[in-house]
This record gives sequence, C-alpha cells and structure tokens, in this order.
Amino acid sequence: MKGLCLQMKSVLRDKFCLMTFFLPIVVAAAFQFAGTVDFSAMGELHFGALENDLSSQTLAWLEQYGAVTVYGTREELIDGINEPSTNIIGVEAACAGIKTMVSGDELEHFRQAADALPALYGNRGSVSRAEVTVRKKPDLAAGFREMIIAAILITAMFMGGTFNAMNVISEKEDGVVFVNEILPMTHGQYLVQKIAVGFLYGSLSSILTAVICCRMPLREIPLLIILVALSAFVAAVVGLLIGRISEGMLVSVAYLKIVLILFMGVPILCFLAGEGGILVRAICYLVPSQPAFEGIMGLLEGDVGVTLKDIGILAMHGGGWFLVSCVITH
Amino acid sequence: MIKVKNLTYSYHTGGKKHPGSRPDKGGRQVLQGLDFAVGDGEIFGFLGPNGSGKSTTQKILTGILKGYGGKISFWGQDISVMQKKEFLQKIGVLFEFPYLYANLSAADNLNYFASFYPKGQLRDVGELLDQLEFKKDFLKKPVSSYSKGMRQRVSMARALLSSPKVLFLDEPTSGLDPSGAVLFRRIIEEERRKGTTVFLTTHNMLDADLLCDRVAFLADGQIVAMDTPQSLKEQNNSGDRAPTLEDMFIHYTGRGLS
Amino acid sequence: MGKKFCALLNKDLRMMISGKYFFMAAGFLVLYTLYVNLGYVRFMKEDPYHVYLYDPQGLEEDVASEIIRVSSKEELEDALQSDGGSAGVDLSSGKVQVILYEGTPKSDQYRAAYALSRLQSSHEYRAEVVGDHTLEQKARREITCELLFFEISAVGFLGIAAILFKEKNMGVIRVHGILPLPKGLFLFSKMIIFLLADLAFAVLLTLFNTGWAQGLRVLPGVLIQTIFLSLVMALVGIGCSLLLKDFRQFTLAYLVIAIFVATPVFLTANTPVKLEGIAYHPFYPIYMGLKNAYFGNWAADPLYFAGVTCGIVVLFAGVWLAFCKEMAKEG
Repeated sequence: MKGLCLQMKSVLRDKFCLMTFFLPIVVAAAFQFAGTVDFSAMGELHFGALENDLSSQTLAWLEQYGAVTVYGTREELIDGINEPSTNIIGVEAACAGIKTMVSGDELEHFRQAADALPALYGNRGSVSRAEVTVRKKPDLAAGFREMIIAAILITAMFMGGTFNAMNVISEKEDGVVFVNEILPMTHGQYLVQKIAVGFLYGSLSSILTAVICCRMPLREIPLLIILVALSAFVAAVVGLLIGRISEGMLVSVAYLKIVLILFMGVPILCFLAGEGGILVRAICYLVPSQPAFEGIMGLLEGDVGVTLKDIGILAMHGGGWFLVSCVITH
Repeated sequence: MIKVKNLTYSYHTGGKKHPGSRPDKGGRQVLQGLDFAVGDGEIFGFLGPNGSGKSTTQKILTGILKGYGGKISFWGQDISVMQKKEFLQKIGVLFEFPYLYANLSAADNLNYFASFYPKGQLRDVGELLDQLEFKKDFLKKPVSSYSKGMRQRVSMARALLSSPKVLFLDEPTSGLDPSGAVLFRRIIEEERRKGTTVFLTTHNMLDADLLCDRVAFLADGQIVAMDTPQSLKEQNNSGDRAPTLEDMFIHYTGRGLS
Repeated sequence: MGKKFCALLNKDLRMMISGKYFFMAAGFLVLYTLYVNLGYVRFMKEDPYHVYLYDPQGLEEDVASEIIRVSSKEELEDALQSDGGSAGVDLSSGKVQVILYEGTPKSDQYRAAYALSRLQSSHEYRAEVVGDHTLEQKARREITCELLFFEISAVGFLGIAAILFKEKNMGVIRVHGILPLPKGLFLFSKMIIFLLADLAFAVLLTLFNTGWAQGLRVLPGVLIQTIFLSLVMALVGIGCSLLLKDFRQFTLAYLVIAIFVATPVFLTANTPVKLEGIAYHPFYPIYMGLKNAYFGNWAADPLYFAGVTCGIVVLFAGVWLAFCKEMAKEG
C-alpha cells in the first residue's frame, strides 16, 4: 500500500501526467458551463447571390430557407461557391424564375436543394395551402451533445494508459528497472502495483468528469461506475504494455498517440456512420473503447440493456488484456 | 556463506558450458569455470579489467542472470532451488550507477523500496541517512536536484535498508570525494563487524587494499589469483620496492588499469 | 565545408534511423492512408432528404420518383422517427398534411416546401456545376491536407526535439562547441534532413490519398507550402528543446501546441464556425496556404511569401542564439 502511494506520488509529480489527468475534466467543465456547440447551423442552406440581380422579394424568399450572402461580381460568387469549407448554393435570376449553381463537391442534400430550388420558387404559393406540423424530438444537436459527453468520458477513462506508460518509461530512464530486478517483489505484486496506478488515476479522472457533465438517474450510476472501472483497468493494462515495449519517451509518446487516436476515433466514427453490418460491428468491438462508448451512450439514452451487453464485452477485454500483460511482463 | 563451483556462462545462448569446451557458434564464453567461496562476515574483492566477467558474475550471484553452468549456493542452499523472494530479502545491492526515482525525494525513494521488505528487518531511514552524512535540507527535495555524491549516498542507504546478510557493492566509492570515500569504507567495515558478507567489485585498488579480506583477480573469465592482499604482495615481492595491489593487478591480468 | 555538412547530415540521419523516426513515419502513413481510403471517404457518403407519402385514397398519382410511398400511418410514423431529417406527407384526411420533426426554423421551412414540391412529377432541372471536384475529391483533399498539417506540426516537431534532447543528454552539444565548425551548420543540417523527410512524406501521402493524376497536379504547390511548414516547425522544435530542461517538459509544451494551436485553425478552416481574430493566428495563413494548394487555388502572393520567409529567418536567428547559449552553458 505504501509502495503504491509512493508510485502514485511519483506519477503526480510528472507534469505530463498531471495535464492528462486534468484535461478531460477541464474540457467537460468548458463544455458544460460555456454552453453547447450549435451544430444545427451546419445543416442549414446557405445561398450566394449577385448584387442587383435578384429582386428583394426573391431574396426575402431565399432568406426564409437559409442565410444569403451577396457578392459583387460573378467571379466572387463562383469563388464563394467553390470555397471548400462552405456549401453555398449560387442563385441567379433566369427568365421568370431562378437558376442555381453548385460546386459539385457538396453533400447530397445541398445538391438536392439546389436542384429543387427553381421548382420550389415556382410553386412558392403552395406551402401556405398545406398544413405543416412540426413535432418536437430530441434533436440532432442533443444526439451530438451526448456523443461529445461520451467522447470526453472515453478520453478520461483511457487516459489511465498514459499514467502507466509514463511511469514505466520513467523507471527505465531513471534506471529503477534494474533495482526492480533485485527487490523481493513477485511478478504479481509488480503487475498489481503498476496497473493500480493507472487504474486509480483513470477512474478518478473519469468520475470527476462524469460528475461535471453527466446527468443520469441514480439507478444507472452503479452501471456507469462499472463501465468506468473496467475501461480504466483495460487502459491501465494497455499503458503498462506500451511502457514495457517502448524503448524511450519518444516511442512511447508515439504509441500513446496511436492508441488514443484509435480509442477515440473508432467509437466516434461508428456513431456517426450509423448502423453497420455484423462484421463491421464485431471488428469495432475489438477496440475496447467501442463497448465503453456504446455503454455510456446507452446510459445517456436510457437503454440499460445495451449497457449491460457492453459491460460484458468490456469484461472480456479486461481479462484478455490482463493475460497478455502477464505473458509480456513475465 | 557463498560457494561457487565451476561457474560458466556464455552470452549467446545463456547456456551451460563446461570448462575448456568451445562456445556456441557466434556465442561468447564470458565465464570459464569459476571456483571460489566467501565466508560469513568476509569482505571479498572481485577485481579485473573491463570485460573480464566481474559484472556478469555479480548479476548471476544476485539472481538477475539465469542459464549459467555450475553450482552456486548461499548458506548451504542451492540458489537455483531457493525461493527468489526469500533470497532477495536477504541481499542488498549497490549498482554502479545510482538508480533512483528522479522526481521523488530521498526519503520517498527509500520508503518506497523499504515497502518490499519485512518490517522487522528494516532500518530507520533517518538514521541511515544520518550515518551516510546526507544533507538534511535535501531530504524532501527531488533526487533530480542532487549531486552525484548525494545520489550515491541514497543508493547506499537503499542497499543497507533491509539489513542484508550479503551486500553486493559495485564501485561503491565511484564519484565520491576523498571524505565521502573514507565514510563509505567506514560503513563497509561497520557492516563487516555486524557479520554481513560483502562482495565488492571495484577498480579502486585503494578500496580493495584497505577493505578486502581476500581478493580474486579475474581475467578472460577465469580467476588467475586469489588470496589476501598481503599474501599476494609478499608472493610477488621482488625486493626493489613493496608491490602495490595495482602492480598485482597488472601482473595477474596482463594489462593496465582501464 | 561540404564535407563537414555531409558528416553532420550523416550523423543526423543515423540518429533518426536509430530513433525509429522513419519507422514511425511509415506507420503513420499507412494508418492515415487506411483511414482515408477505408473510413473517411465512406463516411462522407450521405443520403439526401427523404419524403414519405401516405396516400391511401390515391389522391396523388403523379408524384416525383424520389417519393417513398408507405402503406399505413404507423409505417409513416416509424419512417419519420428513424429518419430524423425526412418529411412525411399525409393525405389520408383528404387534405395535404406535412409532418416533420423539428430541426431549425429555416431547415423546417425548407423541408416542408421540398416535401410539397415532390407531389409534382419529377423535374429534370439540374443545378449548374461550376467547380472542378466531386464530393469525394474534395473530401480526400481536405482530409489529406489536415493529416499532413497535423503530421508535420505535431509528429515531425516531436521527432526533431527528441533527437536534440538525446544529444543534450549525451552531452555532445558541448563537443560541437569546440569543433572547427560554423555553429549554424549544426542547426541547418537538422532542418534539411527533417525537411527532406517531410517532403517525402507529403509526396507519398498526397499521391496515395488524392490519386496519382490529381496528386501530381497539386504537388508543386503542396511541396512549397510543406517547405514553409516544415522549416517553421523544425525551428520551433529545436528552440523548445534548447530552452526546456528535459523531454518530459517538452511533451507538455507539445500537447499544448498540438491542441490549442491546431484546433482553432482546423475549426475555422474546415467548418462554418469562424473565430474572430483567426487571421492573426500564426499557423492559420500557413494552413490556408496548404489547403489552397491542395485545391489548386494557390497563387504566388508576394506578401505571404515575404512574411513566411521573414518569420523563418527571425526564428532561425532566435534558435541560433539559444544554441550558442546552450553550448556556453554546457561547456
């Protein structure tokens, strides 16, 4: 116990580890208290028009569907349309109606809108004759919000790997690894101590992050704690392995980077891409952060069944990675 | 009490070899059948040029290297069948370089290493550091701010912390000023008086001369001479002047100190 | 002088090889290429807005081909719930009823109008295409640009600092202080070797991810921008490693730079989110230069070139001073 406390003290003195501990907490606080990111504007239409080309009524008609930017010349309009970071639909007057221009590299629904706009303009009276019912729903922004919360939690959970990797690398650099060979310490004691460091810090960082940004019913909190514990355990083991196989700080930082990109990227991509085939899902589950992410999303959406399934998968990850670490560290 | 019989070691295979047999293709036969014994409470010096096999012998004796040939016994028990944890609890090792957690203080480092030993055999950290004349105002500062001499003192404290029965010292006075070297010799003598067996590896002939009850000269993996420093000098006294241990070193190993 | 410079280059190359720099760069190249070709490009495929029609009485026979007819109200509800961006048209009561789930007020207006417009037969109108790229080509260029920027500003920067820290730890910098060697050559050789490595990486990443024909077309502009970015990051890396005590402190600075430098630049350059004052961010013009190069839009702007060149010269001068100070300190 004393040895473990001193190991943790050693890790705390490492500014790099300290920063990785606080990073998800700070991001969670910023996300929670500075307001949500508004993604809704990113799906809205954006039109470009030439000065003195369209009538004011046409411009007003366009403005009910999206923002309108007026350009001085046709060249400027075309540059605006072709600007890669936007999806501007160019609108010009044509006979009794309008014609539209696109860059050719926009998303499908912007192309669809550009193709349909002249017809919409022609039938602009018909909307008022129809009864339009807009229903409330947990909107896309809320879905994104939950994804961001889950992503921040995943970061916190899997940061435990960083602590362990840095701890082991420091021992190599300080030469303590030689001293470890003559200490009356069993292999099991060594593993427990090393894994415990990453596990405790990873869990603590995750719990503090969850307290800041998660709002869920009390009955789901034990499940969240189990998810946090399992993920932190897997991360600690992975970190230990990275520390063992790395020859120095540079290599370990590179491996950590790859692992963190993989752990963050796979669940987010899977979420954004939506339902995939069984094979795709099975491959994604090979990355331990995927069941963790899915489990958290399940809790945030109130789907406990999904969370229980993911806890099972995470438990298998924990067992598997632990066996690998036993073999490699022996 | 350490007994070493017919110790062989080859770096390529780490396998057992008999003296006189050829090493494996591409392998390097480092130890070629060492035979020696160290009595309880004895300070035994293991001297030789770089590459002669001193560090390899020490690593084998401390259990770090396996796959050696021959037999090694500690206190009448074969080391290969001894419980590793039990064995390590009885030895203390001072490495050639001071390996410590750079971001922890001396006290934290020692408390950490102490946590692996049974409480009953531990020495008081404060008393130990006082004995080693460690500057008190550095006690809470991280090791990264220490000089080489201070790190060496902390490393020595770590080796002595568990009141070991056998102490392995590799270049204990390296990097110390003369007063530090004198202090370390005094402490090693003190350990001998307590009955601790000391296995000393050094290039410092003054240390070997002043401290060792017996010395062994190692050259090309073989012990070429083993006796008390005094006897070795008497045996090789040609009359011009009294030979020093340095002269013995050059005589027996066939090369200058490097 | 040439012989000395070659000796320095040889030494730096061997240090990079022993530090597995090329091995890691190759690994990242493979990772990025797989990500772009097997992940990112597929994710960019996106469905258009769907319109679901429930017309039990067959009031509207001649509708647009894109309309999806459903046979019951439940089916309509299910479709709307699962397809959040879609709109439903319910003609069961005899009147036209448009149902959709809330988005933003403007997108709701549009989707309703679009749904109603589908009740007419398909129109043949297609918007005029004024650009040169498809969605996939745009996506490939954008992501390749981001990956190259990230790789040079994060990984390369780390690599050069790691090598210098190794030399610091070995104490060889003080040895260079007493060699008959212009001090600037020590820094220059590092900059050149990392520049060559970054250029090779840029060529391979561009060709593998944007296609050979497209890639070769944009390569000259991309390589010029890569030179600027590589030299800037090499000098920043050397400067940090000379000024900071050890590699651990450096990794902290590296994290801060990677997150807080890259994020505003990426957000502004690739999304409609525009941050005020971004033009003053030192990496924004370089990133935009690289992005414009990937889209074939770059032009020889004398002011930009002069600004970047001055920046590099100033950085070099600062690093050279720090290097001289370091040699004096160690000596």
